[in-house]
Amino acid sequence: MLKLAVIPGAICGGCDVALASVGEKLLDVLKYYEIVYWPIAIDRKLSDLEAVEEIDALIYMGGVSTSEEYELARKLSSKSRVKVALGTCSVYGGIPGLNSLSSPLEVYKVNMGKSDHWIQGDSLGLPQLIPYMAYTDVVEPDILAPGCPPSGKVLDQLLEQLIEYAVKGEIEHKPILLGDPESLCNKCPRNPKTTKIKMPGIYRLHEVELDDKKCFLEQGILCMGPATRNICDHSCIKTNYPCTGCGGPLEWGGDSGVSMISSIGSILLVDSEKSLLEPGLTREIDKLRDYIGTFYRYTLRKSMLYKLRELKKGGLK
Amino acid sequence: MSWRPRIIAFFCKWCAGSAAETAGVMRLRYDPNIVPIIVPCTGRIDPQLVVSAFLNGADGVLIGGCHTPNDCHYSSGNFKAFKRVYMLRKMLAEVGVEPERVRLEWISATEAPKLVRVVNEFVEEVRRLGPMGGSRA
Amino acid sequence: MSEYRLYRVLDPVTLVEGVARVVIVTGDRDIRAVYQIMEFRGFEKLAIGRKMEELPRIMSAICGVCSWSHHLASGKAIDVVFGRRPTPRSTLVRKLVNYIQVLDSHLLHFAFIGLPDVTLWGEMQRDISKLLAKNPGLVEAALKTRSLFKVLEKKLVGKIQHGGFVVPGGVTRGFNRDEIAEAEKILGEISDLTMKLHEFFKDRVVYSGLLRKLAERGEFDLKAYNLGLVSGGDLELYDGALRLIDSKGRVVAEIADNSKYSDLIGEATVPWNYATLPYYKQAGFKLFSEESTILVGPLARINVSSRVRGEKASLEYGELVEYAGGKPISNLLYAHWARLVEIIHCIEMMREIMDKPELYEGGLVNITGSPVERGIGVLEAPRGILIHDYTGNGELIATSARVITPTTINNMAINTNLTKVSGRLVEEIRSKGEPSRETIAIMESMIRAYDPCNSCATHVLRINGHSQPVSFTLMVVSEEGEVLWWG
Ligand code: SF4
Ligand code: SF4
Ligand code: SF4
Ligand code: FES
Repeated sequence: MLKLAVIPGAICGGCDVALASVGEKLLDVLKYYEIVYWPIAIDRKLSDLEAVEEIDALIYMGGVSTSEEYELARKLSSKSRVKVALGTCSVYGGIPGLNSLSSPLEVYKVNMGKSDHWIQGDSLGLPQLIPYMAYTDVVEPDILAPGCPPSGKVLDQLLEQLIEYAVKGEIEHKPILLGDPESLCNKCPRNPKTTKIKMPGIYRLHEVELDDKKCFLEQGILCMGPATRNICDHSCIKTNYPCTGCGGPLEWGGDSGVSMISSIGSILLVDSEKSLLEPGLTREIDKLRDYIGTFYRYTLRKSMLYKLRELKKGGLK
Repeated sequence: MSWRPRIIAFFCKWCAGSAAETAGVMRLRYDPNIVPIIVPCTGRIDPQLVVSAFLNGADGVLIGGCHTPNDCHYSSGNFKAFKRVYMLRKMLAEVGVEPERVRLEWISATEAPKLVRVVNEFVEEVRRLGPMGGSRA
Repeated sequence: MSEYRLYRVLDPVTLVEGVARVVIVTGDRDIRAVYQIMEFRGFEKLAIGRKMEELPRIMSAICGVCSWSHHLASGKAIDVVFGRRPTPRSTLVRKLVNYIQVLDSHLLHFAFIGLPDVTLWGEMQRDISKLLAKNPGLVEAALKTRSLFKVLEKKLVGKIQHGGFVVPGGVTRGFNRDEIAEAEKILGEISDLTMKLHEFFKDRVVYSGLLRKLAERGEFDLKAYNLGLVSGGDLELYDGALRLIDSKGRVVAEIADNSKYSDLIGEATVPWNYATLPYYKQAGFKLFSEESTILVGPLARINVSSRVRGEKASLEYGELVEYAGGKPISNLLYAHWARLVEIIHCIEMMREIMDKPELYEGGLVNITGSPVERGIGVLEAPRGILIHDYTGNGELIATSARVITPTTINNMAINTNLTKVSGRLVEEIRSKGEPSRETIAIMESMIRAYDPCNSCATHVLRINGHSQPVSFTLMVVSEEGEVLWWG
C-alpha cells in the first residue's frame, strides 16, 4: 500500500469539503493508497505523520500564512515522492493572495483596527504571521489542481493521476496542470462561434440585467473566460454569473491579467474605434475599475505583476 | 551616478521603425541606452512582452506605431495597442509601478525628428524615475 | 505582569473546521484555559479597493463550509449600499439557498459530530467510525445525506461552494418548476433519512434520560446573553430583528434596524488569538466573564424566539423547552437538540417556499435605487449571527469592511466555558501526571457543542482539522517546554 497524506494549510474549508465529496472515485484510490493523514476524514495526529518516513503522495490544500504552516509544508514535502497542490489557494495563492501587496502587519492592523478594546500581554505561543504564500512558492509540486474549489472534473483527473502513479511508479511530464488545456471560451455554450466576440463597452455587474444566453463580454460584462483554463465546464456561467477566473491562466506560468487585457484590447468597441478615437476609448476604459481584484482575484501571488512589484521593492533578482 | 536607464523600444516597422531608420540616415542622434526592436505592427505587442521586458531588466518601455485613425498598415493594430497600453499602465499603477515607464507614441515614417525628441524625452523621464529594481543609487 | 505557566492542550482541536488549540495558562491567582484560533487570512483588508457588487463572490471565500451564508450576508449588505430592494422572487431564491445552507451544515454536524459525541458518552473515541461499528445503518443514512446535498446544491447553485448568484437587488438566476420538482424529490429523501437520525437521537439521548443526566453537569452551563434574529417573535434565519436576552430570559434589546448591531456587540483584541473576542457592549469587556459574553447559534436562537414555524418543528421545539425545564436553556449540550429542531424547521420552510408561485414568477433583479455609503447585512448562518458591514466611496469601491462571524462571537463563550474546567485539568496534571479521560471528554464535548467553524472566525484566524469526527490531540507542556503528557 502506498501512503497518502492530505494537509490543510490556510484554507477556507472548501477544498477539504470538495475532496471529501468526490465519493466512489476515492474508493478506487484507496485500493492503492492508505490515508496516513487527513484531519477531516480520519483520526490520525500530526505526530503519527511525523513518524512516517516516506509519503508517496502528499496533497496540500490552501496557502501558507504562518510560520507553523511554512515549516510543516517544507518538512512534509521533503519526504514526499509526489506532491500535489490542491485548490487555487495552494496553486496560485487564491483570494487571500490579494493581500500579498501588503505586509502581514498592515493586514493584521486593518483586521483588528475595528476593535473597541485592546488587551496587551503575552501571545501564548500564537504562531507568527509570515508574508502570505502559495504552496507552490514553498516547493515545486508535481501535480497542480486548480479551482476554488476544484471541480469534480479536476478531482477526477487528480485521482486518475494518483492511480496511474501507483501503477507505473512515475509521473511523466511534470508538472501536470489539471483541467483541460483550452480556454473556457472554447467550448462555452454562449460562445457565438460563427462570429468574433465583440465588446460593446464596459459595464459593471450591477449595471445591467444579465441576459442568460449571450456571451458576457458581448454584454459588456467582464468574464475571465478567454484567459481562464477550462477546469469546470463553465459552472458559474451556467448559473448566469460571469467567470471570475478561479481556474487560473491557460498554462502553468501564464498570467491571467496580461492575457485578459490583451483580449479586451482586441475586442472592445472594435467597430467604433475610428470614430471614438483615443479620447472615446479612454472614457470607456476608465469604467474598468480594480484591475487587481478583477484580473488577478485568484492569482495575484503568482502573477508577473506581483514579481514586478517585488522587483520594484528590490526584493527580486 | 553611473546608472544608465535601460530602455526597450518596440517600433512598428511601417512607421516608427522606418522613422528610426531615417533618423540614422539623417545622422540624428538619440540616446544609445535604447534597444529598438522592430515589430510588424503595434497590434502585435502582447502586454506580456512589455512586462517581461521589465522583469528582464528594462527600466522603461517605449512603443512607437502609426498614427490613428488611418495609418496602421493592418487597419487598427494601433487602436489595439492603445487600449492595451492604457490598461497596462493602470494596472502597473495599482501595484505601485510608475505608469510613466511605459509610453506609447504615434510616429510616422516622416517624423524622424519627433522620434528623436520622444526617445530623448523618455530617456530623461526614466532617468528621473530611477532604476526599476530596488536601490535608487 | 504576573508569572504564568503555559500548557498547550488539544493541539490541534480536531472535528472542528480550521486550526485551533487550547492553551492552559496558570498564574498566581488564576487558572484559565484559552481557546486559541491560529490562522489569519485578512479578508477585511483584501476587501478594500474591490468593486462592491462583486464582494459576495469574494467574501464567500471566508468559509467553504458555509460559503452561501457569507455570499448572502454580503449580498444583503450590498443591497443596502446600492439602495436596492431585492425583488420578491429573488428574496425567495435567496431564502431557499439559506435554508439549504443551514440544513446542510446542521445535518453534517448533527450526524457526524453531535450524535457520536453524545451517544458514545463515556468512551474516549467518540467519532463516526465508532458509531459505524455500532450502528452501520445509521451512518449509512448520514452518508447518504451528503451525496444528496451534493446533487441538490450543484443543481440549484451551480457549484457546491463559492459559486455566485447574488447581485445587488436580486439574483442572476431563478429556478424553474422542473428543477424544483427534482430538488423536492431529493429533499424528500433527505427528510426520510433525517427521520432515522431523529428517532435514534430521541431514543438514545432524550428518552433514555442521558441528556438530562449530562446536562446536570455544571461545566456545560453558560449563563450569558443570547442573541438571534426574530421575526414577529418567531425564529428567523434570513431577515429579522436582532433580539438580545439576558441569562434570565429577559429581552434587553430588540433592534429592527440591524445596522445598529454595534450598539450590542463590541470587539476586543487579545494578543494570544487571531480572532477577536466580541462582547456585550453595554456590559463592558470582562475577560472570560459570563456577564459580558454573548452566545449565538442554534441554542441562542431557540432561546430568543417565542415560536418556531413549521408544524413538526414547533412540536419539537415545545418538547425541547419542556424537557430542559423552560427557557432560557443555558446548558450547551442542548445545542444538539436545538440543531435538530432547526433541521426540521428548514425542511418544512423549504417545502413552503417551493410551493409558492412567486418562486417562479417575476423579476430576478431590481436595478434601480440610489446608492448610499454604507451597507450592513445580517443573517443567521448555521452557527449564528453573521454580519457583513461595508463602506464604499462614490464610485462604489469598498473603502472598509468589517465581518463578524458567529464563531468569532462565540469565541468568548467557548473561552468562558473552558474556564470552568481548566482548574480541574491542571489539578489533575499536577497530582496524577495526566488529565482524566473524563475531563478531556468534557472539554471536547464542550467545544464540539459550539460547532466552531474556525475558518469563519479565521477570516481572521484559522484552526486546523475539520468538521468531522476525529479525536483531540492533547498536549501538556511544562513552562520549560518539556512535554509532560500527551494523548
Ligand atoms: S481554493 Fe477556494 S475553496 Fe480552496 S481553500 Fe482556497 S478559497 Fe477555499
Ligand atoms: S467570455 Fe465568458 S461567456 Fe463569453 S464565451 Fe468566453 S467564457 Fe463564455
Ligand atoms: S467559471 Fe470560472 S470562476 Fe467559475 S468555476 Fe469555472 S473557472 Fe472558476
Ligand atoms: S502597422 Fe504600424 S501600428 Fe499597425
